[in-house]
Amino acid sequence: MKVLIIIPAYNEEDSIYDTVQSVKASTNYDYIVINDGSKDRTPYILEENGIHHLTLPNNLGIGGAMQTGYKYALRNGYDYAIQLDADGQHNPVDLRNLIDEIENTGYDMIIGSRFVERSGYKGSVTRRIGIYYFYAMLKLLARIRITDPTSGYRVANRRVIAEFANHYPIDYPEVEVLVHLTKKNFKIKEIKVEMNNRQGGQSSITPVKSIYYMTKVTYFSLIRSIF
Amino acid sequence: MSIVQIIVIVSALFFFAQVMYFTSKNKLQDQQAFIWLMFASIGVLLALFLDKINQLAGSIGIAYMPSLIFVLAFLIILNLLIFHTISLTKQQNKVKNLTQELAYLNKEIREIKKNQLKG
Repeated sequence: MKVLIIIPAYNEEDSIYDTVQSVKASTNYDYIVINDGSKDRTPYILEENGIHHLTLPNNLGIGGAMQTGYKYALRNGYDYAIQLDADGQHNPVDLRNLIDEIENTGYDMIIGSRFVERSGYKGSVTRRIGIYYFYAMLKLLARIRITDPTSGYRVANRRVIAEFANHYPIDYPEVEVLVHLTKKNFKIKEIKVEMNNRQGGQSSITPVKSIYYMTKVTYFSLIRSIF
Repeated sequence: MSIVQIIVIVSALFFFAQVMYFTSKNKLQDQQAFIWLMFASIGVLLALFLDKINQLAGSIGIAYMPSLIFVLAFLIILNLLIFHTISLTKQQNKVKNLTQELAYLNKEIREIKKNQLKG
């Protein structure tokens, strides 16, 4: 069984080294950092420390970077691919649980959720409202119960990897792909994970961006669920 | 022929010449060149048959002929914009795929070089 951990990184000089070290320390799985055209010292840190990575010459955004990882997984015959964020929010300790779950249940995708059970995670009120909105939307449009739809901490099997290598949204892909996958009869499930507060960097979502985020994701989810 | 119509015909011909010039310099290619050729031709035809259009506008209850032109032009331009956005999206996709491929090849080369140094 081949597992690939995909770590998308854009300007993550503060945390990328620690993230990779903790991944190496807690698992034997292969990993690949996708350096999404970072403008800070990220590429040097990757090179100097012999960290496995792909460097995109242009910044493609999170979707384009993740798709690079899925394409890499597909070409190299990986059975499962896991997204792990470079900002240190995703705890590598949960990797094993995610893999076990997808292997044993035969689901196509398992999402690491902060809300399946009460966990230590505390987000802002607006963030929680946003997450609840997407939860309700998915329940309505895709008829699935996903308590943490914006979680990027997720594992995909080979069929989903092939699907993502073919099409993956450029920005804010997390929620939209769930509607798309459900429409195509892929089976999705959640398990509990712990999330840390971020080590470095900052959340990219401003008020204006969050309006774009909600509207864009809602529009595309409607499109994906109808057509 | 009224002065207005002469001005309109000259403008339309000028636009037509502009399209031909850009095509000759390869700044408009294939489909794009064809679309602009169509627009330029329509422009010239409209200019030549200004009075016919006036009649047409009157017959479908439009008292002020230019508003017919504006409505048609607006609809055509809207469609043209969508067409352009579509080709822009296609370009974006192509650039994205090339960028991803470049990153992949870059890694392969780095690995080959590393192996050569070892061997």
